[in-house]
Amino acid sequence: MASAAQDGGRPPGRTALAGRNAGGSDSADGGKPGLVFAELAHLGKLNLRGGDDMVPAVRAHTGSPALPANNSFVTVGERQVVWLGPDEYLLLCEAGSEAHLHSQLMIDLGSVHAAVTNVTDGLCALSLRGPAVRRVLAKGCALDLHPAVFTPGTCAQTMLSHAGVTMMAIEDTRFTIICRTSFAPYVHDWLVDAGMEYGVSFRG
Amino acid sequence: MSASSMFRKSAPAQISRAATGGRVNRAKPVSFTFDGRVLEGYEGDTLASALLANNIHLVGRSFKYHRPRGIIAAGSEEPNALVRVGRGARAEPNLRATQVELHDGLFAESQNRFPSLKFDIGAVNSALQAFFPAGFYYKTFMWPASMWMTYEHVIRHAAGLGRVADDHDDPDRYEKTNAHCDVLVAGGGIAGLMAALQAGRSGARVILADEQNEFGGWLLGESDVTIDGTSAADWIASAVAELSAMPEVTLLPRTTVFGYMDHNYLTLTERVTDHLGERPSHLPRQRMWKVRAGQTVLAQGAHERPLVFSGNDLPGVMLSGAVRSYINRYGVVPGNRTVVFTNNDDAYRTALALHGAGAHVVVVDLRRDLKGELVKAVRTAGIEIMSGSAVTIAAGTQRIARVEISPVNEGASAVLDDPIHMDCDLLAMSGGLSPAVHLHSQARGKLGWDERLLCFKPTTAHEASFSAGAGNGVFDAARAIVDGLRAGTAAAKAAGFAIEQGDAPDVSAPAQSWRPLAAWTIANGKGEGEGPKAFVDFQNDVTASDVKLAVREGYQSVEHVKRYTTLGMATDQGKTSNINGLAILAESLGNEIPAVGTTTFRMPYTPSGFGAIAGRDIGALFDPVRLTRMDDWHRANGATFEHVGQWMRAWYYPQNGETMREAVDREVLAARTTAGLLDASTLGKIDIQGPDAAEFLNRLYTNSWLKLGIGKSRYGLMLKDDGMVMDDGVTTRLAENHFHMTTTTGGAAGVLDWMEEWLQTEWPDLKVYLTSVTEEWSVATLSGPHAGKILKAAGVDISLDPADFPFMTMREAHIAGLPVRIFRISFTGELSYEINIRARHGLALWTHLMEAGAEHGITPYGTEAMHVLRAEKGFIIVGQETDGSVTPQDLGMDWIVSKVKPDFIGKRALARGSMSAEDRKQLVGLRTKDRKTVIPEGAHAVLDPNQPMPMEMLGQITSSYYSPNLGASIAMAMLKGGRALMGGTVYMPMLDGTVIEAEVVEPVFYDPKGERING
Repeated sequence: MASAAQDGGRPPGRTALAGRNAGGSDSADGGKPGLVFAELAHLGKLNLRGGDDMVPAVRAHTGSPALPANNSFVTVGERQVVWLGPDEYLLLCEAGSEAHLHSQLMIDLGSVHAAVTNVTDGLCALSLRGPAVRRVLAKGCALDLHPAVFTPGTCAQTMLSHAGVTMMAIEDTRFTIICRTSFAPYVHDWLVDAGMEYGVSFRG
Repeated sequence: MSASSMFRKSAPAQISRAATGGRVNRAKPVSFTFDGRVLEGYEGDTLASALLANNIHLVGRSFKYHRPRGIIAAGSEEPNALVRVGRGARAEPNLRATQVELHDGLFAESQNRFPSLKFDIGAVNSALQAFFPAGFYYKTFMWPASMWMTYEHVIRHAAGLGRVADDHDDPDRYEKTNAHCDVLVAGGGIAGLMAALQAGRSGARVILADEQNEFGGWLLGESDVTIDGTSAADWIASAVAELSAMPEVTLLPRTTVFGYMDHNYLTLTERVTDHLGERPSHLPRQRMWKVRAGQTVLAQGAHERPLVFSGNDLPGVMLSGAVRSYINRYGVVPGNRTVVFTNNDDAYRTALALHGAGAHVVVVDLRRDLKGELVKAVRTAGIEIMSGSAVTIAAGTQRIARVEISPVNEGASAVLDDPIHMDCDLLAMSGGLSPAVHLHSQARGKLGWDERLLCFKPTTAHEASFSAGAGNGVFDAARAIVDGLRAGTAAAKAAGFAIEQGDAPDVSAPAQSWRPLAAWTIANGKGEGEGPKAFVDFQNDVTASDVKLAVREGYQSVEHVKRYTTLGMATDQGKTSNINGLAILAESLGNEIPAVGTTTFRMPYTPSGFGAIAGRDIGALFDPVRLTRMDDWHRANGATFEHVGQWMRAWYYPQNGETMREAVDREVLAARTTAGLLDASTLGKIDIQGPDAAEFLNRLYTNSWLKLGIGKSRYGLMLKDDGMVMDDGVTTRLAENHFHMTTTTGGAAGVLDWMEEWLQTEWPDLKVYLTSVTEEWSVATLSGPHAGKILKAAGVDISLDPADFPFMTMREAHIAGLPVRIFRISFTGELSYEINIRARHGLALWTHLMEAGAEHGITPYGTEAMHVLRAEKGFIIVGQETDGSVTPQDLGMDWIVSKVKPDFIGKRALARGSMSAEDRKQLVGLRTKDRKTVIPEGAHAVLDPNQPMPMEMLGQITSSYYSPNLGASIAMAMLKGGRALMGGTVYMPMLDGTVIEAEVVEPVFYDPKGERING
């Protein structure tokens, strides 16, 4: 540990699903799996609490002109601002950029009543893609995930089976789901199981 | 007989199979086993149709009298033909043979018989039937009350309905899924198909579910219906093809809509692979669908009613529509010398079908004035019709052999002349149709009695729902398709889709009256209750006499009669029997049927297996297990674990075959002599920011928070508004407007919710934001006299001198280059550092500390040692010493309750007089007389162990351990007036008669002056 910790060269640390082997099940017809998922390792995550007076600071650092509306998220380049609640947002940023972004936001927010909290390690983000992604998620989520309803850009805090998650539709066949890290192994195991019907592949 | 079956030696001929016709695939013979006999059917058969094709009518014994019973229906309403399907762990009882699809190798057995179906000992009940009237069990086994347990055991064994698999581990996979749609159509007959087509054409998202293997409903069993000039089968095929091509339509065959809950939430069971001999492993056997529907169309069809005459339960007595279905759909002719017994026109279609299949037919019609096309067609065919007559008695042993037919009065309550006798092997009966209103009624829809059709049908729906077709009392195919069109249009429109109703396809079917003659019980020319029994409820063996007896004994309410006679309480929920039973009850009461009313319809529509309801919520997927980021190390080093909420925490680390006690003793001693290391990552952590953060904490905790210095920590006790202890923990001021709170592991989520609730609802003026950071930080707690040495060895980059880093402060530092927050707080009473690190480095920190501490005696300790260490110091655990009824004063913690703060949550409640009552339970320590005896936790204490039972309890032992540091047992207890008992003796009587004696002492056993805190 000591040897790896030189200036600017900190060890990357372990991700929530470190040690989970790549794997899954084949699709029944021998074709491509209906669901492929992977951990977005160390994706930066800042929890923002506050109102519209956060907009200038958020705009300056994400390019998003406004805070996202209810149950939606905004993507600008590598960064996403995700609506979590009436005064709560999750800012997703490039791995490793969160500490610097955190301090920049604090400076720009100045006297604005807001809270910025680094939750990068507390949450685990998974990227899911494949033609069966919505059908797999529907097995554990009571929300209407029809592509015309849960459109790209939609997000929701909901339950996936017995784990609380933030679910984001990136594209018709691509989702990001975010859970507390201690639930990540459960979510992984659940996805591998629920996807069996269509074939599922976890890229560790 | 087909050519292929002639060459299969194992299977006897399908002697009742017609040469041609039906929807079965004669090119695919299927071999199956029933009660040990290897038989043959065809692909497309149900078990029932295949048994009938082999001329097997006797398929089960009845529930109470063990009477021989045969197949009477062709659908899910079947009350008799319950079978056990499958072997070993896969055996499933109580399946309706009429719904079990035949596949190669199917293994089925009859139920409720011993030792065999043909010779059944239980049938002695039938011989003694005079002694088993309604309410027999209630009357006979009520006395003496103490014997009921014995009676019940015997009765249940004798009765029973099928046996579950001997091996209770179900090897099959089951799933659940959620679905949303604009329109859910339940039932895929002519009305349901039309409704689904119409809704689908509007662009609505549609789910069409039908319990059968193919769509079409009763239409599949009719040969005399054409739609738009094509056969019914062709129309069904084109409708299904059109629906399949619609991307927003989901077709679910083999799927029963079994429950209809509030807000248009419906539950369905899809039998995904039950019909396959070889089941693909990637598919679930069954899947439960949890559907949220915008609108529903209920098109479940109708159930034909039996006629209630003596001997109507003999095998070979079947429902008329079912007989027609077996002929037309399955190519099976269930009898050769047949009697059709009816009170309506529809059975004439059956007479024609039987006649067309080559059977001899006699029609016995309760009506006198017969007219219409169908009657004419039957007469033209040369079939004899006996009008104004009834089958008064059916006779036979294990199958109907002959009937007695007499002229009867209108209503069939009196026999007018001597009977003629007629031999037969099949009786097709028709008592009119009852719409399947189950889902409508489950959803609290209202029913109205139709005087003309003699049935209940839906009136007002309670949910967003439309009934259609036969289920709506529209029995005629030509009108049912229009009704389906109307309902489909209305549902789509209600769901927000624009569509015109347009014209329905042109349906051609025999013109018939759907009006039956009311004749609820058929007289047999003997006295009441004499002659063979006339059954109303076949599955529960309830006769017309039972219902009448209940009325004579004073029962009036339909709900009471149901429970007294068990009418309609079987697994078929009385689909074929309820209306007959109600009508007989109304007659007996001299009341109108609608005034008697129906019993409550409850889910499930047909029995649904628990497997599908559980889905994958089994095993490891049943409940998430939360692991800390240091978990890998604990596992690799032999830790045992305990569940703390959903968390798995390292409990203790046995070495070299140590017992739990030995391991815990070693860990506890190490923490006080060298150093211990605890994974404290699961503690709840809340990040609190905002200019009013200190004020918020000041209102939340009982003590003062306004003047806490930056970098300083303070212990706090949180009360509910009732003054009772809710949670505790240490909170640290990170900056002027920034705090880091810790909570108990189990209380974390609840405390955060509690705080949010106060901020959002009571104190919205406070500028404070909360964020959970429980999992952002991994926490290793290093505790013991060598803790400082180990931290230094680990490379910490700050001074650990107590002058620089005093107790109850926090320092930001680095260990081996990684940033950490170190809290000098202690739950052991020893010099202690709680080291917080970003969770990704948690495991690395732990491993690093273990390496750095190796030469200083570092010892990992688990939650059990943590409990002992804190108990030695008299520290409480919220949830162990407290139970939601304990105040700070009860715990002897008055010191933490501010006397000067204007307010805090719980302050007002603490001021109530009863809060200072002297007999409240108070926290004390216990010192056992025998210092080695550890009192069981949860034991109750008394003052006088010799008092008579029930003893007066003082309170309970909340914590109890062996303390290796003291070499003696220690315990904490909540005792009534405990403080006043100090120095006295209490007794803990044990279950084995021994009594543990202990002195009441202060609950601090070790280092009472706190001298060890700086190492």
